[in-house]
Amino acid sequence: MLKVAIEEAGYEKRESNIREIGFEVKSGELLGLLGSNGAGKSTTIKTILGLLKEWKGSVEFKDGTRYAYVPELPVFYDSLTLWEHIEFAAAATALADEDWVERAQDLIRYFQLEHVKHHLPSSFSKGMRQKVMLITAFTLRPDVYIIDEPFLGLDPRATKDFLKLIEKERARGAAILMCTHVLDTAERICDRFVLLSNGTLLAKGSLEEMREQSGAGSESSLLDCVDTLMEQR
Amino acid sequence: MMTGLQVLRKRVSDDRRYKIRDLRTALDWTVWLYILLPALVIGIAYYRSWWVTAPDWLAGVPEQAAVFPLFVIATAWSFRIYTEEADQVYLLQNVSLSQGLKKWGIAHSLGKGVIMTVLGIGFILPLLVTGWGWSLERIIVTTLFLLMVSWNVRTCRYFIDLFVPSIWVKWMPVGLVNLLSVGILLLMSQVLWMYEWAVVIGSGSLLLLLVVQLRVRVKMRGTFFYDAVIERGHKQSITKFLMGRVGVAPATAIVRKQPFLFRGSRRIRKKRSPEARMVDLYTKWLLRSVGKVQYYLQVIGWGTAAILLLPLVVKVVVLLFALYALIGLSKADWHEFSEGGYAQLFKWEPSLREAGERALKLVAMPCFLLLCVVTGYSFPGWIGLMLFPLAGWFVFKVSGQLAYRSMQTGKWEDSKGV
Repeated sequence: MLKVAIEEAGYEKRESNIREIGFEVKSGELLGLLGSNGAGKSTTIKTILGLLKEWKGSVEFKDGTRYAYVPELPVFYDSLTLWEHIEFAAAATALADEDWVERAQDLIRYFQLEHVKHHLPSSFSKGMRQKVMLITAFTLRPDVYIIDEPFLGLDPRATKDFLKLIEKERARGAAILMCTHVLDTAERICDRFVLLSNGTLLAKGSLEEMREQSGAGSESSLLDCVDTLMEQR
Repeated sequence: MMTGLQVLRKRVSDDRRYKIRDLRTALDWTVWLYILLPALVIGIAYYRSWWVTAPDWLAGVPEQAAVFPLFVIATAWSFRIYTEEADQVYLLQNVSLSQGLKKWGIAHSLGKGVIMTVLGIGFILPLLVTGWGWSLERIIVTTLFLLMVSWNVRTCRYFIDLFVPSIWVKWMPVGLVNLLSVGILLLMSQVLWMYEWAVVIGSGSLLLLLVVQLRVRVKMRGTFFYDAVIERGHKQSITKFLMGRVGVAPATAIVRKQPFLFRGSRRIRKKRSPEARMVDLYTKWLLRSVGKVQYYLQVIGWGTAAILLLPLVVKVVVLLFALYALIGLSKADWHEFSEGGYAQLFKWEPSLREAGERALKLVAMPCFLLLCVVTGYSFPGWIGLMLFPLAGWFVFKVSGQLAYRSMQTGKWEDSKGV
């Protein structure tokens, strides 16, 4: 679904923040993009989304693939309501009403935001704003999800609801690239991992492969693997 | 350890630096050389001549009118206590420091009131003396009341900002206070200045009112975040003046939960195509943004005034300027809407590019046609009323298409998706 081969990318000319990063996200797969602060996760996502001018390499979506991006910090229009934001997303991706209205309503109920459906998200709490971003993405039913730190601000119930939805979408065949610091959850839900450090690829593979690459024991957690790999560097 | 006065000094100097930087960005040497310096030289020459002989036009102006410029200049300052959001980390814990800052902030504000009052009187003084022949006693009493009014009005305005966050409701109490203050000034400067009892009672009452307001402010608790928001508004006042609301953080402590227009996410048009829905959303976004609507109204207001007052040929030039301004505004608004952070989250369908052209016409075209009607009306004979709206419609259509094409080849097309 998504094939990434970034040679280098950065915000300024001749100043690359990330180098030699390559991975693939297949249909129905959940890939965890890991790394410490400043490792280059957000830059990688921005490169995939085409938001950076200065980059070399290739980012290939399978033909006809639609994606939805959930940013780390929710972004909104100050004067559009929650419902209008979803309507905006549907209009931008040219969805007909019958393809999104019912699903959006279900999702709003699912995330318990029905009472604020016609309110302005600028008045929402951090968690509610994050839910709006997730609702928008899930309404579009894209082929690829690019999700940056989805757990920020979500309460335990919403986190559980979100993970259930992720599972459903994977079962539908959607590919998911998820960037997170919550390693215990990532260990539980991700099929494979990509670990970045100082703008380069440090390791990639399944949990088993990460254990092998790090030299940590066969029972070690993802956190142990990441920790060992970072120390080895 | 810093004292309240030292903190205030630091904040005042930071504020000054911030504003000078803003002004420098807008006023480069060409503006100084060709507009401001000549205006200053001409202004000083006029002012000096007023001390010698009163200008001819003053004969047609009633002396009561002096109160209005006096009021405007004397109240052109703001009541500030220089609270910043970051103060919650440390300053709030230190009661004596935060109270000290508050008191010095108030004193500093009142000082600005004195300066502005003196400037106001100084500016009008030659007209009062040589033009209307005011006595020294009358000028002193008027200055005294001008200062009292200025202090009270700005303090009261601060309370209104604090308690009435909605700019739609705010104009009522602000208007009432201004009206009352101008009334007091008129009464004192025209009639009551001759009576000692009136001067004593009047100034005493205003001073008492000021003291009461200041005591309330000093004792008030729980207004930290409101103060921080008001302070942010003052800090960005030059930016706001130069650029409208672009790049200005919203200065409101109470966040609106529902929009005041098109509640319940109601659609404006019945048409359901993605393009129509996008234009619908753009319309709502635009009409709900007071600052943006204000810009269009300003173009209509100034354009109408200029068209009605200026000579025939200049009317057409003004109309063309208005066309340029309206298309520029619409282009900027659509760009802001379609290139915003939220819009960047999706891969836009190419069919939606047509929405940009429709959005361009949406507000700018009716505004321009209105100005065309005004131009037509101000032309002699009925032909203007027929010709200008028709020609205006055609000119707008062509200019709109040209402007739209320039948008198409620009950033908009390239920036969507991967």
